Amino acid sequence: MSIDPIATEILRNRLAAIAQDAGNAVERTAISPIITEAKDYAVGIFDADGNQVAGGGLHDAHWPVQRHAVLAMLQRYGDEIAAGDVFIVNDPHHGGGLHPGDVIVGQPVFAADRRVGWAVIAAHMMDMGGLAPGTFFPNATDCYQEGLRLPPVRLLRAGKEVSEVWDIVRINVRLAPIIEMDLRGLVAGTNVVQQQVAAIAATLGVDEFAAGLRDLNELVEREMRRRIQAIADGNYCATTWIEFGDQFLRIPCRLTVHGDRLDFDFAGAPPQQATFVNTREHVVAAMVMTWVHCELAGDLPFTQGVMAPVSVHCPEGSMLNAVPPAPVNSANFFAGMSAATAKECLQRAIQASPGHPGRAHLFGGGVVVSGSSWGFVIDGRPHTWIAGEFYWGNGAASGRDGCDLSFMPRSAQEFSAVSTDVEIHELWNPILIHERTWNTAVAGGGRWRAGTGVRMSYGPHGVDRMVGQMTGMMSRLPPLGEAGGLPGMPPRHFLHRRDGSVRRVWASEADVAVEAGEYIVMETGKAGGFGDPLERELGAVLDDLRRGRIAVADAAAVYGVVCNADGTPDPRASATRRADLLRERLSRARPPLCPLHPEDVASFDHGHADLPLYAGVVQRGAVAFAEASGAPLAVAPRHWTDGCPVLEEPFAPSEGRVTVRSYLDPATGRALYVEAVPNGEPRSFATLPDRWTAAGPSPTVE
Amino acid sequence: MAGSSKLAGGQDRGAPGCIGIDVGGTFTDAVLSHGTQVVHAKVPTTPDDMSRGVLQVCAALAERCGTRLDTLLASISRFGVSTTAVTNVLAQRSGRPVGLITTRGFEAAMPLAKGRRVHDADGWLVLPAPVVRPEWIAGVTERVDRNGTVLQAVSAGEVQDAARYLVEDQQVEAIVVSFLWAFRNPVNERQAAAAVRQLFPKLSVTEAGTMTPVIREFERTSVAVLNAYVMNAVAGLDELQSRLSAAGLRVPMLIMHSGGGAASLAESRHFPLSLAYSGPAAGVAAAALVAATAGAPEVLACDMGGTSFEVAVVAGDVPRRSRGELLDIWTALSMVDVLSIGAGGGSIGWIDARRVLRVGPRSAGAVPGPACYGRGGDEATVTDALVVLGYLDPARFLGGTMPLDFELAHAACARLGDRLNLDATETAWGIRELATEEMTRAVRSVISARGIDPRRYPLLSYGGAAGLFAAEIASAIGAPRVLVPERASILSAFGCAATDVVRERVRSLAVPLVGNVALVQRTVEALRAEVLADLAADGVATGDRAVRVQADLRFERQIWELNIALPDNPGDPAALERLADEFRTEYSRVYGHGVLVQGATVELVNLRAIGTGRMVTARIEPKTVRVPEGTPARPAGVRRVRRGRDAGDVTGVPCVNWVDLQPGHVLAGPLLIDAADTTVWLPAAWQARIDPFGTCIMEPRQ
Repeated sequence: MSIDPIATEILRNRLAAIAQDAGNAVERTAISPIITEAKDYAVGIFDADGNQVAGGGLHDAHWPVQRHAVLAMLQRYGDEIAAGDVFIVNDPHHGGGLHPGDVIVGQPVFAADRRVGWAVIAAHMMDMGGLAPGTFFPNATDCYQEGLRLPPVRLLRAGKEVSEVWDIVRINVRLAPIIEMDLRGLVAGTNVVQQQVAAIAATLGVDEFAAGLRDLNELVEREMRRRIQAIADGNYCATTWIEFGDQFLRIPCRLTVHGDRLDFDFAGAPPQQATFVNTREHVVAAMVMTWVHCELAGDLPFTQGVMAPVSVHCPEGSMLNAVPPAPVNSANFFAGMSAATAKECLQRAIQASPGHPGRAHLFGGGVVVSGSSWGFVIDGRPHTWIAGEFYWGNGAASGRDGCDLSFMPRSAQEFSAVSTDVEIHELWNPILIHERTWNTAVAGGGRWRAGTGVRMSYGPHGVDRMVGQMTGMMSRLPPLGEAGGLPGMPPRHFLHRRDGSVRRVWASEADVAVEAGEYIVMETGKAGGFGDPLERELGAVLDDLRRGRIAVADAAAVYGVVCNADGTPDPRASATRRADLLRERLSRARPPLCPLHPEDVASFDHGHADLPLYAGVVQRGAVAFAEASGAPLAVAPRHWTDGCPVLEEPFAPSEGRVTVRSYLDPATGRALYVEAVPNGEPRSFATLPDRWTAAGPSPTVE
Repeated sequence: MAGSSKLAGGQDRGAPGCIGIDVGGTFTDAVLSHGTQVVHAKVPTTPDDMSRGVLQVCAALAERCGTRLDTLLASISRFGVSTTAVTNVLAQRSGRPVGLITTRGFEAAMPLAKGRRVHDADGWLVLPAPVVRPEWIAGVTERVDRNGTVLQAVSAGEVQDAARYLVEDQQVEAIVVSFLWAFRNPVNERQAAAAVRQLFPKLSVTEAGTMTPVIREFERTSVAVLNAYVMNAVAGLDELQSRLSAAGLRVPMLIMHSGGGAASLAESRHFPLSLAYSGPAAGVAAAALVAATAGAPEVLACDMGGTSFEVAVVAGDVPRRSRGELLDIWTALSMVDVLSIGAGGGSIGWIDARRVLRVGPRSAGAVPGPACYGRGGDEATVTDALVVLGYLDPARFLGGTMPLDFELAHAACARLGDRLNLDATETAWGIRELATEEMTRAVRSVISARGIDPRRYPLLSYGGAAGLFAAEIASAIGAPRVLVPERASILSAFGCAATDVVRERVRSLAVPLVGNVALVQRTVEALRAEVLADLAADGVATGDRAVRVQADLRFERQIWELNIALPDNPGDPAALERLADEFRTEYSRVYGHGVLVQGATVELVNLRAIGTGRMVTARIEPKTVRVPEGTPARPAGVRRVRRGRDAGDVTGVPCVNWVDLQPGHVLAGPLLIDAADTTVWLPAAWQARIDPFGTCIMEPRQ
């Protein structure tokens, strides 16, 4: 079937314009700053069956959950759905969004008496009831404590308000007038989509319109499948851990690449918990889709076609796919964000795929959100300040240092959210900010280093004290680097007491009191580096020294760079030191699990071409080699790391809980991969393309 | 061309002679207006020496008037210029090195660019190219809090150490001092600046808080830093003034600034950053004048040139914003409020990964330009498509001075279409359709973001390329008609001749509006006096000076403000109450009804005094020659135009020469109007008439 290359693009452009218009309508009519300023909303346009065809707004993770909501509406109401119906849903257990604080408002689009599409808007409400203002409550033990739970119900029936439902919402939420006006803004936004999409469908004819939407998706899906086809078939695994209190909850992910499909499986996730760390499969899937889009399809419109070849499985009853009564009020955060594990798997797969264009776009690290909210009492009245920074030092990639204080390293859209000025923070809140500067904590080193986050110090000013609730998903485990690059740094908070003592404040700590004269130092996180730091160019190290990003001691310890008295690197002394450091690594390392010598592998080395297994690791025949030194690492089907000496060191910022483990080139001591795991945990990743596992067991005798 | 006149002979001695010149990136346009007589000329811009191009274009004007350059210049009583010189320095980041002395602990603010990240060519998010390198920033110990209380006085010795480092080690050529809260209490900033001046008496030293006393340290600092950075860009203006004087000009020239008014050379030298949006501001200012003559003070002004399409909502005056991005950098510079997208005659057609046709935002620019320019461009652009389809007559481009190559345009479209199995003409049709869609989307975005009703807003089309698209854009958005001014392609130059001097002073208060009567009154009086002094310094006679005062108001804690005119008696508490009411009314008008937060405090963020100095200006006068109302215009020829997608959609379309049109003429589509440097498309089912001022008013036939 041939698809019209002009008409299809005109239709896409018009739908994107409608989504943008609807977003403008929402921003104009809603009033909560979380919508109008932080832009935590998204507009989705779907076909009659709930396949996404266009989207608008900043937060792309909303789109796949909107589809989930449309499917729930279709399932519940089916043929009863009529023109002018407007539905709302918020309970993640019943078709709702990323967390109960988000509502999804959906309206069918009718043309010529046929349902031709859906207009859907999701947005974060300032409150949806429950134990704590804002509907985030770490200590909830079941979903009944988490506020108003709405399955798909009608806000309007055939264009007429269902006043009973509005009444239910009004008496269950704090700040009811604001929530009501925001909700009306969302309804207004769906009206914009409904009217304009219906007009297009009427002009084109409903059949032609439906065919156009199919074409739009098909073009994207075709290209997605082509790109997946170019990924080497096989299994790729990564594991991360969610921190809650003292616990590390193990989240394993296995990606199976098979032809033109990607299947992510989170089998082995822990059972659901009686805290707010649980999530739902569709939420995890939404997060996974945003990574897949970022890694593979940033230049393609985010439509159903991107998602069609991808599946995500989370076992029911696990914390990734909890069932009632599990609390889910932070479903988007802890477990949802752990979908970044899926990104690690996908990067492993792309690394192992010869000639894949995505290989140029791999980067270290993932999402490193930090945050805290602070309460004050001013003249007897409560006052709140959110001190979070939702940007961090980005991961490095091959050939480029990570970007400072940014969101994703790559994205289809430019981010328009801006960081707030110090004067605005101080104008609105009784605080004094002592510094807001580069986070100079040394982490994320590499041949290309991670970007830097910020360090901000603040304390009460004009009030006696402030009391904080700490959010954020990691405070001990760092994001990882790639290709021998070092792990980054989790976000950290420190409390500086009046007596000069300093204590670390951990993620999800409650009721942290800071008295007048004391202050908090917050460091936003930093992602990982790319490549062994001992290979960083001297000029780049000098730049970092000159700009105060690293100290002379760091240059020596991390980069093996020795400086002259004038602060410039001494090339000869540095070369010597680097060689010493490499030797020293090998001497301190644990011997390989399965050491190999060149003569051991001669009989298996029957391949002709080098195929990549990982950055700096190649497969030739049934043997994995370190690319730079030519040292053999493993014979299939053993994992390539089995021939690597392993160096284990404590990760200092974890205060003894996390180990940094480097897999070294046995010939040179060069770091091939560096991971960070809770003490005692085994290797956290695996690269097992079929062509590798099938290469063994190899003939033992020629 | 409006025909020649005998200026030197002085037939129209009563009317002042006004010259306006727009030095653009590619062409330098000039307009000479003398009562009802208007002459224009166009020469290529001379980037290495702006004066040469300006004198050339003046000579061309003189030639058209049958007079000598010196005679012409001597007869001129108003000479206005707009320039891209400052924009170029910013865009190319080629300004001089500027050092920044700031509050210690906040040195990272400028380098981190307030979170703004842009895409590089390969899709990575990166920091915008820096203006101030991190090593040119020095922190000193000092602090003022939000109440203006000095918590830490500044040390002159420490400041001088910092200055020595910046000037002697880093070789900066100017220093900006910018401290937190200096707009509220400038004492530390002033003392620090004095200490630097004492050490380096000849160095340019700026106090950011005095220059732009507004809240938000980033925007305030960036105005001072950027201004110091572009200082050398205006050297060419001094040279131009002296060469014009030598050539006979007897009046000081005026320079168009970003706020939509003119300023003296002295002021432009002092505040060169204000010229950053010089050309677009001139165009919008002139659009407002044209709209007024057409009895439609509210219009959507749409400017399409070679590389960009710009939209502004004109409502009686030039729309301005007091905060926003300037080439990816946030500033508090007051500038004309336009939305600019990358869609112009040079926008390139391409095929994306889905194998559909796309257009822009990449542009062939002026060099190599569209394929039909014959300068080596081989990619199909919008201009090429217009040539292939027959909308543009290759022989008459720019009045026949620059014939286009049909064969090259055709070949470029054929090459592109080949990959999609489309022939050259169908591809050209697709490029034109998609370009129209992109522009329509931009106009719709402006409409929906401001909540205006497009049925009340005619489109005002100007710039070389807009006339071929305006009618179809108007149809798509539901605008009632299209106005094409006689000087559509040189409107910016006309604006340079037609605007008054406008000067502005602003001060942040950041206090509740109600209850601060004395402060408001005191500040208004001070601002008024300052602006009157500014006007006097720009040479405005006492009787020609007028000042209006605006308040930037918002609900407490909102991010964006609305500008509301201040009453004449701000000392009256009741007047401020009324002002608060007026703000609420305007707020619900802009953001929709039912969005008001009851009881929310109205915050007075800034007070702003805008002074207008009446100058000799070019006017848009009624034309003296008329034809009886309803006289059909006589076509000068017929062009074969492909109007639809099918090969059979080619029809002969009558072409009218604009110079043959007089007030009273009527036209019926389909029809093309050829002017010297623009062409206007009147679609089938549209009609047009020429109004008394020579503006072509097009609307759908009833």
